[in-house]
Amino acid sequence: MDTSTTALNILDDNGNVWGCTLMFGTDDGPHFIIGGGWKRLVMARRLRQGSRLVLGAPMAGKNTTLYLRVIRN
Amino acid sequence: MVVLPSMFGHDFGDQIGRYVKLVDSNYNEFDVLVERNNGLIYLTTGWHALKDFYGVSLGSWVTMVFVGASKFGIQLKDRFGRKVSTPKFTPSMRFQLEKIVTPFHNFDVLPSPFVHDEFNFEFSYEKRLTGDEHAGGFLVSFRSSLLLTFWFL
Repeated sequence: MDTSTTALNILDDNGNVWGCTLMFGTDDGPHFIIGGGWKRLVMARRLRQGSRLVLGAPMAGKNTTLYLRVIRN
Repeated sequence: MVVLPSMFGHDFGDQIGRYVKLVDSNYNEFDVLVERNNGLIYLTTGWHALKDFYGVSLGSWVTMVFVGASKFGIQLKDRFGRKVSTPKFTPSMRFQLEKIVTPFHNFDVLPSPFVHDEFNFEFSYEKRLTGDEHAGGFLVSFRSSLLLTFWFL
């Protein structure tokens, strides 16, 4: 993923796309925080604590879309 | 995936475009891809979003009312005919499709429900949601395993 971008699309297993924000942080090691449309996705897919997800990416590089599969919501 | 009755397709098929919009009583909207084969109209990608959103299972009913301009009003009932409550959000929920990547419409191929391309899971990461990620609306991913290396390349 690209540390300089602030936008990320998530394509879920229903084929819906969710425009999310992306923040790159370096506290406690490098990490990305996905926000924005993520919250809408959580509500729309009825995700809650303990829900299991798989995030996928096709290749190493600048992925502007991540792919999501909900195993159990 | 759902197939519209051929009689409906015959009468209104020309008023339905490449996508339809399903709208419920609380103005939640679902974009659904339209595919055609052998004179039938199939609603494919995006249709499945209804399942989680309304929490419905096998045997439920969706009533669709065509209001013109590729738009349908929808109402759901469970298999006993009881109304399924409509979630309310402010602003209302919009299920959108990634319209640019929609494949070329091949009329010879029988339409099928949306499935992920396995290639998109070449690098994958399974996660159980923590409380913060659920309540706060954030998904945090730390570089904690080899599987995650793709995040940072």
